[in-house]
Amino acid sequence: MSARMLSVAAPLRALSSSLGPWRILPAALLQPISLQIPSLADIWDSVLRAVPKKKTSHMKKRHRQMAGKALKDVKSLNTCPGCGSIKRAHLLCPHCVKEIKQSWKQAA
Amino acid sequence: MAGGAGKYRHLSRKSSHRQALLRNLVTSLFENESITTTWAKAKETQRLADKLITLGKKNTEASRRRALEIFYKPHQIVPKLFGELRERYATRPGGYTRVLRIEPRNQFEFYKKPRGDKSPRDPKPVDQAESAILELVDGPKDVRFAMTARAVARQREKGLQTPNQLTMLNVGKVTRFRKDGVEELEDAIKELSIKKEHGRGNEVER
Repeated sequence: MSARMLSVAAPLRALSSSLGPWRILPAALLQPISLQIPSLADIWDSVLRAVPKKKTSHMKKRHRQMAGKALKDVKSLNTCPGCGSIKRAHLLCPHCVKEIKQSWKQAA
Repeated sequence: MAGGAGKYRHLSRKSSHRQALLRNLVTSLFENESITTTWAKAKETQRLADKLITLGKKNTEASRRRALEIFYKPHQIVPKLFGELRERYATRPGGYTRVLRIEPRNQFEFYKKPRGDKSPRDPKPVDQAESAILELVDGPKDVRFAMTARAVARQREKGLQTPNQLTMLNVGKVTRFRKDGVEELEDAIKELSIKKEHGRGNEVER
C-alpha cells in the first residue's frame, strides 16, 4: 500500500512545482464576478410602448358603439278594418281609437 | 324578485305604492268603464278587477266588505259593482275585462295648471311605453264593440253583406253575452252610416 501511495505522490509534487507563479493568484480575481444586468422593472419607465397616436373622436366612438344597433323596420303591418288605413298588427288603429273616444265625449 | 320569475309584475314600486296604484286604477276603471294606461299596468289591474267582479257576483255580506276595502270611492262604486255590474255579468263565466293594445302616445301632454295661471305649461314626459286600453266587457265604453261596428259598417259600405272571418269572430265575441247584443250592434252600425252620410253631405256643400 505505502509503496503505491508514494508512486502517486511523486508526480503531484512535480506538477505543483511546474505551475510556479499561478500558486499566488490575487484574491480579488477569485471572487464571483457580478455583471450587474438591470432587471425589467428597473428599465420599464424608460421603455416606449405602443399607444394610440390620437384621441378617438366622438364621431368614431359613436359609430363604433352604435354599429349593428340601428332601428329596425316595422314589417308587421296590416289594414284597419274600421277605416282602411295601414296600422301595426295586434294594435288598434290610432285614428279609429281617437274617433271612438270623441264619439263617447259627444254622447256624454 | 331575486331568483326566478315573480308571480306578478312589481311595476318598479314598493308594495304599498303598488297597492295604492292598483286601487286607483281599478277605482277609475269601475267609475269610467274604460281606462288607458301602460300595458303592464293594465294587465295587473285586470287581475284585480276580475276578482272584484267575482266578489260582486257572490253578493254576500263578506264579499261586500272585502270590496269596500279596495276602492278609493267605495260608496260610489260598491253599489254599482253589486248592482249594475253583477247583473251585466250574471251569465258570463269569467273574462269580464279586456285589454287592447294601442299605439303609445307620442304627442306632448301638459301638466294641469290652476285657472288663471298663464306661465308656460310643463310638458309631461313621454316615454313611448307600450300602451293599452283596459275596459269592462259589454259596457257602454267597449272599444272592441265600437271597432267591430265600424268594421261591419265599412264592409257593408263596400257591398259585402257577410263580413270577413275575423270580423265575424269579433261580432260573436261582442254580442254573445251582451243583452240584446245583435240589435245594439245593428243600431251602432246604423248610427255610423248615418254619421258618414251626414259628413259627406257637409263636404259637398262646401
